Amino acid sequence: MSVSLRGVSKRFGRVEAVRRVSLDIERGEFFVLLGPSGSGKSTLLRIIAGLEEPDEGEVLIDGRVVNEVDPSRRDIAFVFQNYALYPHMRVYDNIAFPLRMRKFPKEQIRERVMEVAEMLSITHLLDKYPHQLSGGEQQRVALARAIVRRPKVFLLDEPLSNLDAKLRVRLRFELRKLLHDELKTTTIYVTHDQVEAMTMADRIAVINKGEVVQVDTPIGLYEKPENTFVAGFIGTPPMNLLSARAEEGTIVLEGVSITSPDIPSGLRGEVVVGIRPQDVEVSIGEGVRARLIGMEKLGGGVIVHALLGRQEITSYTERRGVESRLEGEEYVALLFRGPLYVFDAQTEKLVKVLSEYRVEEL
Amino acid sequence: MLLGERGLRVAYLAAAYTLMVLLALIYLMPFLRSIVASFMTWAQASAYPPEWWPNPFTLENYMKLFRLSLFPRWILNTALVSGLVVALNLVTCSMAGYAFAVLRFPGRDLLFSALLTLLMVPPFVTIIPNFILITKLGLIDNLIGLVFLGSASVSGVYLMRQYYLSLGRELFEAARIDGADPLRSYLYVALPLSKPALGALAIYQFLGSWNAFLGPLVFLRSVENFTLPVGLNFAFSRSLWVEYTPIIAGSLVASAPTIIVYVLLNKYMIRGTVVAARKG
Amino acid sequence: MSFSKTSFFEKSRRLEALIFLLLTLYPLTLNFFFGYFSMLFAFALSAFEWDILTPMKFVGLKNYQEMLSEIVHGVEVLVSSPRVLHLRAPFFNGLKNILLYTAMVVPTQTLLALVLAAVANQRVRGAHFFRVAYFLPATTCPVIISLIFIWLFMRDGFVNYLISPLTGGFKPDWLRDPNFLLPAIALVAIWGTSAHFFVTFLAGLQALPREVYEAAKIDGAGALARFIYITIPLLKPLVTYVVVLGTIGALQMFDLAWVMAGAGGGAGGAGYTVALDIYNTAFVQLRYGYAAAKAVLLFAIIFTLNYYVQKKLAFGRVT
Repeated sequence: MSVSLRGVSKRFGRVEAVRRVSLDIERGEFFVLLGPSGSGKSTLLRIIAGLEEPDEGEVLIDGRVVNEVDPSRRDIAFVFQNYALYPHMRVYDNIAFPLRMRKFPKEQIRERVMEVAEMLSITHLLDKYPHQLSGGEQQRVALARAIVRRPKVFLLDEPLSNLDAKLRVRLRFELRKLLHDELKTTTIYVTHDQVEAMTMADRIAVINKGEVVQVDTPIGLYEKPENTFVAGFIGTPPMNLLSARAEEGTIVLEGVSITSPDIPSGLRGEVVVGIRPQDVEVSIGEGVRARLIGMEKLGGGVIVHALLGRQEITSYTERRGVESRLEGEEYVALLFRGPLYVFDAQTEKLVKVLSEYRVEEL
Repeated sequence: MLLGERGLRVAYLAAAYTLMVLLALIYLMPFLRSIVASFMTWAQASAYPPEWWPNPFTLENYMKLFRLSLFPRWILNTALVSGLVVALNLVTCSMAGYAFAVLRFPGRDLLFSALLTLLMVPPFVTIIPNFILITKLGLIDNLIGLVFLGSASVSGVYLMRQYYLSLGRELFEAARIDGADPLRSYLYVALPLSKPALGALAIYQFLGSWNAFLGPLVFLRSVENFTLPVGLNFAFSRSLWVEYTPIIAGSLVASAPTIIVYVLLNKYMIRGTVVAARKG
Repeated sequence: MSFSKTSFFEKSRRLEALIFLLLTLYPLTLNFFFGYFSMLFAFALSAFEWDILTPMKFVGLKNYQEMLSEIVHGVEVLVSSPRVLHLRAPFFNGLKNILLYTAMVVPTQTLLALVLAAVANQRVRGAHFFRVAYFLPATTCPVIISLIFIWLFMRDGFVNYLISPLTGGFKPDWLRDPNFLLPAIALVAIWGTSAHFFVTFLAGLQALPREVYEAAKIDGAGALARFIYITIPLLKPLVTYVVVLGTIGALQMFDLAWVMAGAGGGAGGAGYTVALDIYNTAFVQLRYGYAAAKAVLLFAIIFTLNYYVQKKLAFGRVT
């Protein structure tokens, strides 16, 4: 089923949690709502579920306006961040509950519960109580309870955030496989973790301060961020965003001038130049002079922090031997080897992506 | 060094225990003295300096108590009222507490604050009008009238509501999405989880009802309908017995149920109100 | 762009509202009726003269006038011949006594409750037994307990036995001596209420965050310093709560006086309280209107004192 939001707004007291959000989610998509905490993404999810009423706007499921429809009748399933399992019921009864409420015959309930339990490998837990299970197991039960009804839409509210890092890495792969590949059900997934979003989503809506900032595929967001927020939010380590000035077709960045045929001729004023750390090469030979501040050695790669003029710039590389070569140096040389993103400092919007450019020290 | 620290700890323990025992004696002294005295004759109990052990040991005081046909009647009355009050409150407070915690209704929170504010109203302001109202309702001098007044305690509703809030709204939202209407949500989710809170509620309501005085004094008129506090005080003021020791015995009998309930069940009183974090 | 603020509920939301009403109607109506309606009734009643048997008579503010003049008269009598205060101006006597009583009871019970909590909070073996023991007085009925205390306070009773070494043999007749009756009642009250509030403070002490103490320890604060700079400030909201509740309770004290002093207030009217006076006015003199007026005054006193105390010890709202 497809889900759409048209001009949805929601206020809590004087705080605007959601501001005129419009989204179109295709049937069968794995759609992620990504944003920092407090951005309103959970509120949006709850509005889609019907747990909150929007002050303005419409929620549509399969083309039908469902604002007035009770959550239990929207044919959706919701997985809460803390799972919300019924503590006084065994796992079997937890999973069976939604079917019981809908007056399914006993035989059918048993069938479905077993089916789902097998799907999630929790058949051995059916007789236990929630408090006897680990976090990961509880999460599977919560999923089972959601899946057993075969809803048309899955809504998941940061389901992995309560689990430890290793479990999270494993489960995000399994979740995607299960919900999207096997069950082929429309899934709307809320998270603040951009790695989760990037690895799981078909499309991502980046949300900040109650507004949808950009909707695109993961690659699209990575390669063509529409503004500084998305640019700085997606990708790890985060993109370098440096203040610079544009005049007469040239951008001046901390004693370095950047010229490019891609720079719009009328561009002038304050700009923000973005370049991903992966595209900044550090050496001790040719290049823009910068002061070495420090290095973070990750084993598989190195993050180098340098001072370009008065601004800090980071570089990330997985090439070996970099640390040893740079150790003890006071100055390093930077080479820019990837697209440069030019944003308007005022509007924070992307002006142009420079793929060809020349860098000269002044 | 080690000895000094050890010595300090021992001294501290000694001081602490002494203080604790001293305070305990002061607070328990009335009970201790009266238990002893209830088995004494009045002659012995009123002696000065006070006697410490019944000699002769006599059950005469208790017999005098129960020989008075009113006394067992008073016990029965108090038990009846308390039992009914507890039973009714278990039902009304859990239902209302659930409704206030989980269900949505325009003005719900306002209604709840208004209800809570009643706790601040001094009983003396309402006792006179209530007396008039109860009289007009024909429930005066009637134990059922007493039960009726206390059948939906405000503090009870508050206790249950706080408990249901502590369960977290997600639990009830999940039930809702699973297709449970508000009533079934109450029956299948809220109620089964209420045991600790209901236990605490029952204990508090029992204590309050058994020990009530002003209400029974005002709303009950005939001696046969009295509850224990009112009745015993009546026996005292009318000097139904010449000696004082039966009164002491009577006071112990009257205090025994609440003391026993408290001593045996006090951990359930706390368990119901301080809800352990149950993240599930 | 369309707006979804329609003015009707979908069927399930109507159901929810209906069920809410179903579940709350009884407690709400019962309590509102015998609470708010009665309060308003009391205010209205205070403007009438009524004895239930004969029809009501509207007297406007006459009841309040009478009260005021009694108070004024009471002040005169207090100054000129205090011995007969309870005969000439009983209501004023009741007021005076209850204020005295409150001043005696509230600070003492608060302090005692704090001490009990501090003592019982020690992490020693058997502490649980003491916690149960200290709260025991609060589980009993004050009326019943005062019957026991009457025996203890007799001239040749246990209390006098305990204090005779301190008073050099002097044995006050607590219940019949006008100078000692009110303190006797106060002692019984303190015994019960300090036990009751002890639990409040104990819970408060146990809820204090351990990390703050550990940080203080690392910062070099000794045990006494920690008590002064951490425990007391953190407990202040609770102290306010206990003082407020204690004051409200003390001002309305009825049952102890009823038992220990009797309906007339005992020797020299020393045990006569406002609550006792209200009871007498209503149920003995059958002047329900006047009694209601007195109740309204008591309510006003409690309300303003409560407000003032909360303002003065304004340490935030108590959760």
